[in-house]
Amino acid sequence: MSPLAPFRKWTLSAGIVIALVVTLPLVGLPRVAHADLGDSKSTTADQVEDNDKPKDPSLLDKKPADAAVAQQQQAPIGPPFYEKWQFWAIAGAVVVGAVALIWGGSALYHTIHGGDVRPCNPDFQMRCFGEGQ
Amino acid sequence: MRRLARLLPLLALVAAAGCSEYHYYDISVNFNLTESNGGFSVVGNEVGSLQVCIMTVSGADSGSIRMGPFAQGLPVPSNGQFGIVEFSTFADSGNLVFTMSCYDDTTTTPDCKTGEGTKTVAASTASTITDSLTVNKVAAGCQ
Repeated sequence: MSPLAPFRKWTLSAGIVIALVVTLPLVGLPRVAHADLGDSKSTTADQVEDNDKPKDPSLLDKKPADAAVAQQQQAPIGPPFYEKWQFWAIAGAVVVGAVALIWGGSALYHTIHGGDVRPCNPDFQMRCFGEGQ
Repeated sequence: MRRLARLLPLLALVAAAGCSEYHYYDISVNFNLTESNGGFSVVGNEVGSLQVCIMTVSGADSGSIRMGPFAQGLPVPSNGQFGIVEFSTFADSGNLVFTMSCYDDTTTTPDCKTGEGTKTVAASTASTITDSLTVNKVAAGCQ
């Protein structure tokens, strides 16, 4: 008598284990195939959440700011600013205004301070002195 | 209204500064030729020996002018009529003291001063104020 199980019983158990090992992966493969990898619309709840890609399609829509930036990037580049007549019009107005301000200011200052002194009478023989002389 | 309110300080500043106006003081200068009354001697045309005259102004304003030699009315005519000396100023209040000092040498040191005259004129808002000043003999001079 041998203490080991009979060869026929050992063979049966090994066959059952091997069958399970082979069968279980085959049963699980379809679920893996349907797993949410980001490109599927499946909402299977038992899959791992994909945080990198939102499922809400509205979040992926282009925003108005994106459109403005895109439009700005696509805006045609015009001539240099110094070739625009508006630049020269404004620059000319600024120069003319500055000159007028300086001239007017000095004239106003001169007027406030008495203006021109009266010319010395020739009969006085250059004997005029004082303010403005 | 806001623009007007902003302009008000500027207008106030201009008004506070005021507009200056020239006032002219025409001083007619004569030399005293009455020797017995502190004047220059007519004999020898004493006024004709004067080389330099300096008019100074003090009081409400200040200034000075040096006249001569051989220019601006010097040498003084023998009749003693020197003519008008004009002083321009913004002063229109207070007193202006005109002092005429004459020297018988071009070095205007005190020992060469022979004539002097002073006139105090009340400043006025008038454009031209006329007055007269008489120069008397004060010393023998340095010549």
